[in-house]
Amino acid sequence: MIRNYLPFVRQQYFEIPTGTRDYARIPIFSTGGGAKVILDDFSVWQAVPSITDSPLLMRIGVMGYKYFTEDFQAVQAYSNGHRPLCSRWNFPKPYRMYPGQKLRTQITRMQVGSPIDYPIGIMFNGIREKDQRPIILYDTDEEAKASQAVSALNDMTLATPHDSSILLYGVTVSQWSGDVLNRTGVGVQIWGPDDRQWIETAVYDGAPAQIGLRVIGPPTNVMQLGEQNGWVLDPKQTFTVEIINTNAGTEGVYLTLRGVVEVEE
Amino acid sequence: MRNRVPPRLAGGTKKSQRLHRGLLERAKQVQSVTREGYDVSKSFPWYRTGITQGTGVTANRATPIVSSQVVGGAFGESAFKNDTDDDIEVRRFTFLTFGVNDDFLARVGVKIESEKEDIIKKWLPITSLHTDPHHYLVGSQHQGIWVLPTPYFLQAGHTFTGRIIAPPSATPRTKELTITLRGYNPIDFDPIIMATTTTFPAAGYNTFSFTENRDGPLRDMIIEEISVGLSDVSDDFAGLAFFLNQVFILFEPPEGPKWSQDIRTPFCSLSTQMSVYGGITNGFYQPIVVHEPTNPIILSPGQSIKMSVLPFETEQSAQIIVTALGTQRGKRTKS
Repeated sequence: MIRNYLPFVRQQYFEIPTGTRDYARIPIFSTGGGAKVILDDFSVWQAVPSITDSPLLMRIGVMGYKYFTEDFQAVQAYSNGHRPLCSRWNFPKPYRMYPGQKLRTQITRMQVGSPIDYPIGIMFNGIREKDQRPIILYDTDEEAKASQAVSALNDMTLATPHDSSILLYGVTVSQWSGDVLNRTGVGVQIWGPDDRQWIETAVYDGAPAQIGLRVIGPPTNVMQLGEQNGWVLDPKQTFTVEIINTNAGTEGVYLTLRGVVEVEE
Repeated sequence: MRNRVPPRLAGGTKKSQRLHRGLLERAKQVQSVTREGYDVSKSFPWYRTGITQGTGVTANRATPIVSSQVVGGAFGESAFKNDTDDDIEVRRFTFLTFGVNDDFLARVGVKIESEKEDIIKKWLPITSLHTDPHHYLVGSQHQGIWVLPTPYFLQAGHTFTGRIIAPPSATPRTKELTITLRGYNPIDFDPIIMATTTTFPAAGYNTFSFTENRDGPLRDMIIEEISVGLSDVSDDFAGLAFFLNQVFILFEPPEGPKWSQDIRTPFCSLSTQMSVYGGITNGFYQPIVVHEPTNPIILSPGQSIKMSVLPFETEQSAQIIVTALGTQRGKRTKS
């Protein structure tokens, strides 16, 4: 049996009133038979960043089991990774696609203000297995569109070539700004060849959403997980997060979980 | 050629004498320095830079906007042509602009075509090509390190030189730069660092050279990295926000083919790591987009990669500087 690794991103947003706690349960990926789930990383991103203090306390675990730590810790205490500075995700394991298969994507522009319109593009890079040559799957919408406009990017440039299977190693979404403090991203949805949704960084109440981890501006907390650290779950398990807001006001929090599901083909 | 005794020998210290003896006896040992199956002394860094003007329009989208090919030669040839006798492995593309707002590259489309196929045949925003999540997308940096795409074998007694030209804006011209070669001795694997300082010329170019290898202990050196930075980091950097964008250096290694043909490559187009003194909140953000194909693109002799750019609707005009970087391969020493 050949193993393949389906990448996934799940993102949730919720608002926690001051002095209260809230839970997030992030169902990983309903694979219907996947062997295991390898978690790549997890991030907590405050909608309005607080630089000087730490109003959020957190504990994480798997639903149905004890939390990994019973005590709540400051969100920053979990951080052990770099803050990525652009909308790029390198898959922890490459994803294989076969001739005749094709990806489908949809991008929602989120930027507001000036400049309000800009072209958008998405790019997957990888190699052909036949000859090891590099290959790019991509699509673009050149038209300027207003904020909140949705671009469906489904061209045949997102299809596997007819003469070789390919391995994809990562995805990039175009970024309108090189300003590393800019927090505005795009909403991204990606469907695999079987029309299963891999990646959803949905758009919540007009707030900025990100592809996976384009999370920039402090205090962004990235927790590197990974197979080498034992972050392997059963596909039916649910990643659980519990957060207490000790700040004076309501906190909006984005939670982003990324990883791959191992399946047999 | 490498086994001849260099014209100048080192001083009389015991260590240098040992090194000298090692040098005379080293023939087989040095020939065995390989990287990825290739002889280091026969593989060389290779890069080419093309500059094109991205001309925006102030009118609306109905105004025709003309695309332009990134060319390098005098006859409209692609800037990214393999004009050597060896295969080139292209491992990296860098896209850069000067002096415009940080959203410019996001509003420029690119098409890429190799001899074999269309790599990108629709206008894709350049920022879609970025592949390094942790690379700063800004060139307003003050120290940069270029990890060479393949190590360079610098022979004992030979002088590594280079040229630097005047920066486009006046501010950095008063600054002093430190340029550093880092690597190791292939005989005993001792680390070697050679540094030199230089200043920007008012016009034309200044030359700089690393004389330690010529005058100091007799030793070969495998150069792995080259770094460029400001000598004085206590200065006010607010006016130097474009610093590495404005450092145009041409390295002139004593052996082998030229790494590049001209001096128009900003050092930050080559840098693989950059750092900044005093934060990056001052001044413009200058986007740099770095695209590294998953596997190298192989260019046989005479082959080229064609690239065209098209500004989408924008009110800005700027030069777009594209650099293709890779390795010129000699003969493979083992399969």
